[in-house]
Amino acid sequence: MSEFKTVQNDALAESYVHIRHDSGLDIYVIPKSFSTVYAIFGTRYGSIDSRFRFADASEDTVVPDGIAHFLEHKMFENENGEDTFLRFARFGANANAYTSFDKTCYLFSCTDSPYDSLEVLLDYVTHPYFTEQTVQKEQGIIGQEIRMGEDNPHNRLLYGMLECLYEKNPVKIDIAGTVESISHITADLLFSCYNTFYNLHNMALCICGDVDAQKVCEVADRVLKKQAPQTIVRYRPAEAPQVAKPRYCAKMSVSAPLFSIGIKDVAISPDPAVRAKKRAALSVLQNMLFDKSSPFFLSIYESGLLNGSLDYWYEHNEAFSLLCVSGESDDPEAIYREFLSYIDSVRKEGLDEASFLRHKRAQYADVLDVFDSTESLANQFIAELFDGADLLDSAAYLDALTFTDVCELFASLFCEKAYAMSIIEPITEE
Amino acid sequence: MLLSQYPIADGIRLHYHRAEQFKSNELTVSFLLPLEKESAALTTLLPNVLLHATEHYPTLAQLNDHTNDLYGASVSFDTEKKGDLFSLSISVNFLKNEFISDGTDLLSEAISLLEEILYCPLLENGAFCERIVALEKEKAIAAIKSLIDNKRAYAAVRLIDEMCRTERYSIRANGTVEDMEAITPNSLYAHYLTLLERAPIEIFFIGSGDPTVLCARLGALFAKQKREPLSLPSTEIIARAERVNEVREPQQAQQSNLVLGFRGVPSRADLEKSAAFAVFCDLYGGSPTSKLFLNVREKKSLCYFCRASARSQKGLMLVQAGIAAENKSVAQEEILYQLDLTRAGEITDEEILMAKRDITNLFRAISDSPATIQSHALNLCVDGASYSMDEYLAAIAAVTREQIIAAAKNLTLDTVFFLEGIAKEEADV
Repeated sequence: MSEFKTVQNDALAESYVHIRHDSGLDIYVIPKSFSTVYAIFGTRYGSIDSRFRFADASEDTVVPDGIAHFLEHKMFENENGEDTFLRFARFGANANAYTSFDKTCYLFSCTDSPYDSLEVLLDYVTHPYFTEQTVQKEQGIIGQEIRMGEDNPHNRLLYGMLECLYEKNPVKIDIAGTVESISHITADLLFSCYNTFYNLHNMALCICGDVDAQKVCEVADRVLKKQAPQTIVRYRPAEAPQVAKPRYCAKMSVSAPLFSIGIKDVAISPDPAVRAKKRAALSVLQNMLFDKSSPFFLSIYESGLLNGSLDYWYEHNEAFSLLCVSGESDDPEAIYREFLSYIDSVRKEGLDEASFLRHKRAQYADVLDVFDSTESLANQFIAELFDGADLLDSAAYLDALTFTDVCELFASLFCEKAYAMSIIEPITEE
Repeated sequence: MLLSQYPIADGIRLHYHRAEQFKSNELTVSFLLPLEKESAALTTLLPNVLLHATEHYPTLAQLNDHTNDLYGASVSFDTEKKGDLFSLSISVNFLKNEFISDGTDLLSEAISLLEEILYCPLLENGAFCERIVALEKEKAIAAIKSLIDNKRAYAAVRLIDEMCRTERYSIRANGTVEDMEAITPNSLYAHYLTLLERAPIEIFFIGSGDPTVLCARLGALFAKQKREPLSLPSTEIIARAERVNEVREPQQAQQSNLVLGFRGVPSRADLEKSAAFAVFCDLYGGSPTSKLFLNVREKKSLCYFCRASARSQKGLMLVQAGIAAENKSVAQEEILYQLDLTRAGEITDEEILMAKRDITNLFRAISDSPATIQSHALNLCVDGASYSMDEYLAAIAAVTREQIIAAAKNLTLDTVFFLEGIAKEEADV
């Protein structure tokens, strides 16, 4: 029997129903009075799972780079030859999928017939079909996707930065792999990865919009077969706190140099609540340090060193943690020197409590903003879920954040041996 | 969808849409201008200067602190080419008062912020600050030059350059480096005054708020503004291409970008023709079940990206594909072959049904975000169209096979632009 539990947050005026489905799948139904219904069926399997071990195996299986993403593409193929997009299109749903470092998600968005589309979603993802011919055909398509990625300077900049930061962590491997690495993918390998990671106990369904939990459960009842849980031993190599190398530099057809400063963080708690709290602290700290009021931004912007906006983001989960600051500049090394001197001055003078309070207050809008779209809600919900947290707690974590928390985070995070910079430069005419 | 309209001043309207489902409100002021070479650069630069500093918040930091103090209110802007018109939209997005516990009236604060941005610019010697203008000009020039970083976007712009060489539409939306360099604090200030005096202004409010209060506040905001709104020119439409022009440009890249430009897309003011074209475009190249996706990508494995999209205000359709250089002819042939098949009526009932459902889905989804609501409403103004959501969906449902074929037949290929990728060894350090 499937179990239903309602989780509510009155301050946010949000709630969801958690269904512990009989099959082993966790299902989350988030009611919203929007026109669209957005559903994600995701698995905790991404590009960082480049090696793994079956519970009863004596050694690791190492898989070619790009296989999780390749598998995602091939999932759309059905044994009866029918195109999955066609199946969704009949109900007017818009389908897609993505592979990231730590998960693969299959999704659809619709304004009508959500239960029909949900049935298609659950069905095609639980029925893999791979043959040597279909694998071969995909090489060309993904080959072009890889080329498109190779031509994207921001993509190269990102992977260059990750390559600097990490020695062993597979997060630095391009999610799509390379044309060479995907040529080693076979149907057997795809099945091997599928059978390991696409176990319902390793997956979750999140559906957000004007839907009824009981009806969602009925669709799951029709499609999903009960599955026993499977133990997956994941490869999570230890990383030293210092970066693998300080610089990456490549030349591409760009108008001006792009830079990306990465700050490596190996202080990852095994406790999901601690990680969720740290994410709240990171979100406020990064704005305090790098937004338009920050002395660092102002000095590089007003001096003309920075060409446009300063982009910054962080990632903090069970597998990896980092902060990244990037932009366009004619002199990336000068930016780097400014960055060092700025961090130094913050260390000496300390952070400003008034700034903390202001940024904490402003961050509340960002927390609430996630709930204003079925797409962002479902995606963020899955992201938090897969790291053992609950999106509905995000406002509470922010609320509980103190100035001390943020000061401690700054002190632990910013250490010169943890910094590296990747640069993409214009190709110079000969 | 149709938003309720209220007059605010001469050539200034408020479009109001009550939206209870969002946690924030969005207020947008859109200026419409004819697309002109120098004014494109001026209009692109202006919001950067206006949002850099104001009279009461004279530095970037102070202005940013102020918006942060308003519970993380965000101010953004967007400029867009719409046929032979140009739009500048400035938006303030802010939390609804019910999510704030200290009694602040953010709606009132947001309107005050808008007033500050529009009417309290930071001036020196009767014009914008020289230092700020110089700084923002540099950034704008860097932005213009960085178009080349995105090959797909660059290829599309180059196609338009070539296809519309003798037409106003080829004016670059971000301006040119030369035009940007020529801007002075005085010329920018004069343009700013012109915008306030002469541009038709459409204001959009999406969220919860009393329209009477909004009208009163906005009326007061513009009360002293002398207005002489200009009438906007209509867009030059060339109905047919007489011959095909092929242009090739080499580029340091792994992948090549092929762009085909067609003439013959109907205006959105003609609901019936426009609906027929929308269904055609979706089934031809607008979705993963379209002819282009299924054939150029899936069957022939020639690409990852291959799509058809319309610039309906200018009457153009673009087909764009990212391919290997050696496959240019094969891809181009297949793209045109699929169009020929459509013209010959090789369309199944299922294809038509799926295209209609896809468009219906996308259209209904517009009401799910303030940004898409505002953008759609602004386009209706520009297009001179006034259909409701139901009228549009009914028109889509009524599209016949014959109309789809007619839409396909009405297209003529004008220009092929090929951004040919030439890979080069890069130095890896």
